[in-house]
Amino acid sequence: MGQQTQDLVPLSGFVFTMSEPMEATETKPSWVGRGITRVEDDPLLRGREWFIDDIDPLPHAGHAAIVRSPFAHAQIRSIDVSAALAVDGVIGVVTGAEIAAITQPFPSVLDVPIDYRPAAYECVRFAGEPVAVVVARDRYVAEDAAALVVVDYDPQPVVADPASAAEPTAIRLHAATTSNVVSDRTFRYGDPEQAFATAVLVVRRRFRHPRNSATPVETYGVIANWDESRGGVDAWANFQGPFTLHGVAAAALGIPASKLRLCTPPASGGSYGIKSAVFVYVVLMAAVSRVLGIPVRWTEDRGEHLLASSSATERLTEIAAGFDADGKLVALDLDLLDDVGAYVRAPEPATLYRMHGCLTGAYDVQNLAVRSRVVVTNRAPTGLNRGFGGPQLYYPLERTMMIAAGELGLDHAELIRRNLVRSEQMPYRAAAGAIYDSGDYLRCFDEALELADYDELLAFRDAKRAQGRLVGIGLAVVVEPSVSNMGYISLAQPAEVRARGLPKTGNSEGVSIAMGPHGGVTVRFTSTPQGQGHRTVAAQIVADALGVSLEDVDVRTEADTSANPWTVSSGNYSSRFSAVVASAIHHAATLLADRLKTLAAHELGCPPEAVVLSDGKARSSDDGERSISIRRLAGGAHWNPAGTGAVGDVGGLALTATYTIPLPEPDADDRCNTSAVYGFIADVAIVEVDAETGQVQVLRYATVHDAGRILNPLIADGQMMGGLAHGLGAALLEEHRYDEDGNLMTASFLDYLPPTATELPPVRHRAIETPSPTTPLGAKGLGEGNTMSAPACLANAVADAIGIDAVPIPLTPARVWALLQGEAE
Amino acid sequence: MKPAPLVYQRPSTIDEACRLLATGGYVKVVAGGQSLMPLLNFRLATPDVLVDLRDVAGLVGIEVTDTAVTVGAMTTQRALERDRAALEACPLLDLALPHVGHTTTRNRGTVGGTIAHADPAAELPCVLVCLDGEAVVVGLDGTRHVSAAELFVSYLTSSLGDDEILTAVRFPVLGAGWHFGFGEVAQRHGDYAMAIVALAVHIEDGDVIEARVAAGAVSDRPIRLTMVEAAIVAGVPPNELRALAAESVDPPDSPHAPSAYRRSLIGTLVVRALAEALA
Repeated sequence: MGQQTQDLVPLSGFVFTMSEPMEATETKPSWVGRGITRVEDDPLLRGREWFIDDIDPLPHAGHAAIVRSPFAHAQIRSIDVSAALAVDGVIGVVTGAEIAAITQPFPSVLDVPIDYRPAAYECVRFAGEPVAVVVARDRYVAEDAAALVVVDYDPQPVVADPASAAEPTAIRLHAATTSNVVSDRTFRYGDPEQAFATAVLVVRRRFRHPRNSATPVETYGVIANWDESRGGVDAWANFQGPFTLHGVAAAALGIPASKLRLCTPPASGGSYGIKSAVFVYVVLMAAVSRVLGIPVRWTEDRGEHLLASSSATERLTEIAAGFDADGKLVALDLDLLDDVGAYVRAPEPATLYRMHGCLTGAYDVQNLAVRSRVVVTNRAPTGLNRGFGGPQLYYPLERTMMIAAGELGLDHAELIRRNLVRSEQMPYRAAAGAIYDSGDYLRCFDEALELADYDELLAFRDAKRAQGRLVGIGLAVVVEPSVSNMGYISLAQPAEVRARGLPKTGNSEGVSIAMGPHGGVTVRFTSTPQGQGHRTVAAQIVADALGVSLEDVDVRTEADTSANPWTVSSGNYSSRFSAVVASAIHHAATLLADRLKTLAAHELGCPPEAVVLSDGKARSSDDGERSISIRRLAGGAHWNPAGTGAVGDVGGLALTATYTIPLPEPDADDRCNTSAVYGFIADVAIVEVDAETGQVQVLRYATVHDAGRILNPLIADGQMMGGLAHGLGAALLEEHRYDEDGNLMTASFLDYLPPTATELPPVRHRAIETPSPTTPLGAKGLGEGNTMSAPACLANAVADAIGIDAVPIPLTPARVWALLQGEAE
Repeated sequence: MKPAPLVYQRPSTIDEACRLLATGGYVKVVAGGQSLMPLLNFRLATPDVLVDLRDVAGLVGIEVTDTAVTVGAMTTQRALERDRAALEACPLLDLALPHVGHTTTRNRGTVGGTIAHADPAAELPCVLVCLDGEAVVVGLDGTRHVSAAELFVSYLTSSLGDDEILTAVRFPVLGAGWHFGFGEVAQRHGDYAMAIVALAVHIEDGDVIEARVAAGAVSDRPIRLTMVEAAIVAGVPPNELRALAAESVDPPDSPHAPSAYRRSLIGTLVVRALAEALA
């Protein structure tokens, strides 16, 4: 053991078992499933990609700078723009009142009287809220002039945290509402009261998930023009979807959705969810363009991004978990309070409901009580962030399981084993309605323990403890949903209200595919990738379906709502690419393959079903000697359709197809299959805490995924590692802190601290593949899971190391030190 | 996040640079820009004139003698980090430099810049105070040598006159018998330190006969902990030394590091730096 334990001594840097890269030129039977190197990487590494700030689709656009409120809550008495207008180079200054006059409030799924506009016009409700926009010949001048806009504020009392905002006596943010709690729903599944009454152990705890963020390298950017003649808007933005928000933006602009042309640049500097909220600035800049009569462009700076873009919700959770004498989890009670900030900006309150169907996580428990509340506070509005709702759920749930194991006198791993949903229960209907499509959770968990060398970790921990060192082991298991059911958000409404509206079950993606006269294929869809390698994987899928090589397939992923196929559920969120977008690509490519087979059948004199497409040729499976090149088939279809024997639509080699995974709408009992497919992750971590400085060092981290079939292991590796880095940041470093006046204390990279390469621990990971029966390729999403699991796993490890149950995240050195001094939060 | 309007000057001689500084108004010198540029972009510093020293001759180079390592002000931190002779002559630099930002910032950041910037949470000012080093300063009235104790006045404030430019930094070579320790705690590697300790002890016949201890990030400037130095020489045991060191500082609260925590860190770092030096 002595030698082995030495291996756990902290390694510097980053040890990561990567899948073997494979060159795209090698010929193999199937492209899908191979670690093809990304076609995206070459221009990125050479600095030749085009981002929002590089493109200039509307020449001579004015450059905008935004005047933002320094107060978290204040009435605006007056705004004096005269000094700003006098600056040489200033084109115009537009105030919130002028913008309010030509916009409508952003619509919300919650039926509450909250007037949310892209800029404040009578009252500011969070520090950083826009109050005016200065447009000038360049950003320097715009910022000079913005500093000269004089706003006379009348500061108001501030409600800066969710608990006090939810008090009945709290100052209300929105005068027309009756409470800052703008949504309060209760749910009951099974018989939780009875189950709690019979439980031998009930663990009750409170948790606070802080606000944190995803922090992409590239901030928001918008270029917008109001087209007076058309009564519409052309806009470019590094928007990532969901395209539900396109409709929200159009509604705020008071124009039909068809009049809002929204485009994205070829490349993205990352998003991880947060760029969904750029839609607010699309509306703001389009409105400014309308007032000034010129195109306007704006690139958010880092200060603006941290202060006012978006973040994960802060959630206060009260959890009760009941166990029987065998350690079986028999009932769960979750009281959830989400701080969405000053306004309920779409898609909020989706953080509460994205995970609703799978609130019981990976455990087999059918008795569940839930209260879900939404509270507004004088803070920036929240929104999508990698993991969306998952970290807020699993930190309390997985901490509670570990605490319960201690109280039951069971090893934590054993308690998990006793409660995991079994493979023979698949497909498993979770208490709140999620249908876990597939997976072998027990095997995955055992593989994680094996991968981590769990027995070695236990021995190492005990040996170190004997020396007085603070070493701890953490475990976490999570169900990772992917492909959101558009209907889940209507759980925010009672069933009877829901019944009056249009049922929602959407998750579709549209794909255009065309083969040119020389056999080259172009593919287009609206997944708005933010660095996940969609172009590479799409080419793999298409090349397989058509029997062509990767170089023959050109994939374009720029969104253009006037040209692309898209649906309201399009976009890059809920890890939907591998499951539904890939399915749509496969579907469209298969339809095109069918047309090629019809053309080939005519040439080869065999039935279309007998045609096999591979290696650039169509062959008859009846007579393998006979073949025709796909290039020749394509040439014939373009130049000589009459001679192909298949004219009209049958012979056309361009088509658009949409693919939808069939999902039910929420039922009358509020059961909802909130996502299309569900993966599983098991994590094991060991940490050492420096008793004197409070620093946490992650000595080893192991994670095993079951995300169905892996389409490209190399890209999957990167996604898992990125998700883990975000989870590690949330566990140990990242928090948007506000003071009692609603000032953000972490408004620069001096104080908001995402992990860097030096903070990443040695990681071991593995994927096991239980193909999903729901998707044609058997794939599920996987890029968010470790963001959900790592905070819980690391909090468990630190709790184990220091022997303290109440471990607030992020576990910063000062905080851990305070815990060790006996200071509870 | 764009700087306010300013006049950018790029003199080619020290004299020219000093004259620009003496013209009045708010004039800032920029060297590597790793600390100043963010302040300009945040508009926390809004100088009328920015004097860039990159074209001024004679400010780059490292000279190692028996008594000192003299580093030209515009020498990058990375160049010093890669100068074996300098690090062997002054081992405390070897211990401290890896904590200064990251390799990429050290490629640009200069030794003179970080000293003149006078950030109490920076590593090299703390090293200079520990070693009783000095800065070479040139102004319109000539050259003077300013000791570390006199150089650092307060947060981002040095005792340089309005027309003066720091041209070199001298780190004394303490010689045989001296041993060193250095420690800091930051949120992430390369972040602003929450506490820094630089330590040097002179050992003769197994006894510490002299000790120098400097603490950073706990005051408005790097400070010497003279009581701790005396306690080390007196052979006070580690637990008492830790408590004494913690009591000898009174750091301010910050969002990531309350005062009590920083105080405790200084105690820990002193004990650990001493152990490192004695190892």
